[in-house]
Amino acid sequence: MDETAFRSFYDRTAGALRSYLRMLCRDAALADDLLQESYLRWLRAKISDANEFQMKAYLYKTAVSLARDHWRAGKRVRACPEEIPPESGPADHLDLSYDVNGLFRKLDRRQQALLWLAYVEGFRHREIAEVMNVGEKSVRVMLSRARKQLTGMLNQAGLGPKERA
Amino acid sequence: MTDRGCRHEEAVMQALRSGQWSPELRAHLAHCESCAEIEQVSGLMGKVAETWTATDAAPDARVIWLKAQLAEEQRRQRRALRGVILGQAAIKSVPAVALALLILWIWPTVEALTTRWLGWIQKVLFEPAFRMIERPLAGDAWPVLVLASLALAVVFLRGYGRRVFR
Repeated sequence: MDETAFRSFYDRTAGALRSYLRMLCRDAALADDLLQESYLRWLRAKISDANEFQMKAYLYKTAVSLARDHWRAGKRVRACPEEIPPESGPADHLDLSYDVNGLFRKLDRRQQALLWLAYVEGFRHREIAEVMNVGEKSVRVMLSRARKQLTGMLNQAGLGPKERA
Repeated sequence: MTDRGCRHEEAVMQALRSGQWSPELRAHLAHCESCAEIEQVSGLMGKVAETWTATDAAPDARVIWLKAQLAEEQRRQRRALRGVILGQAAIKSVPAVALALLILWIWPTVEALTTRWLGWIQKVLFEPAFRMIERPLAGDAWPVLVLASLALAVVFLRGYGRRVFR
């Protein structure tokens, strides 16, 4: 792969991967470090002859693995428990994206990653399975559970569609 | 609705991504709880993604490319150096191997010498020691007695010196 091809792939993928890593790490500097390391490993792996999906899957898999290694090494980033205060009133008075984000963070990291890959990155079940190292059928089940949990929390917080109607 | 979701799930996700809904899928969405949930969560995740979208500049692709080239070059050099390092190790081990071969070559002489030295050590040190154990006041046990006394004296003086000069 030459520099132009790399730059083109980087421009297509870096923005989304960067957001994903920021969401995973909650730390912009760390996310950028992991982003660079992910691309370095991707370049070292020399998989430029693979198709776009395989290259992207490898990149995300590497990023997830690096983030996991970072946490395992005891360099955990500080937790950011942004709980919605109990006195929060009706959802109409609050910034919806802030509240949804707070609830989203209450899901475990695996569920967050699943929902992100499925509904932000638009990965298919097969692709998610490859990135997260699980079976395709398991992805369907885990996604369904994550969705239910998120919508359940939204309804509890008065942010569900029925409550907002 | 079960944890397995709906079989139209991927079609709904595809339609959400592309914005192209077939009438059948639209009709399905109206009465499928699981797919409606997908639509809802997809919208919410869009809002979540907005909060994590970086507005500052991403790391420069050229820097990453150059780092990768540098790392590749270092790996290439390490691979090339591996042969040199192995060669150096081989050269360093030549005297030891030569010595081992020499000992093997003159083994009968070495064996004879070793046997003679061991015999002398046994005669001078061990035999008197055994005799002294059997007959402590025998006249030929004096070398062992002298050596043992000297050793005790050294140990005592070292201990005494440490206490005095501490």
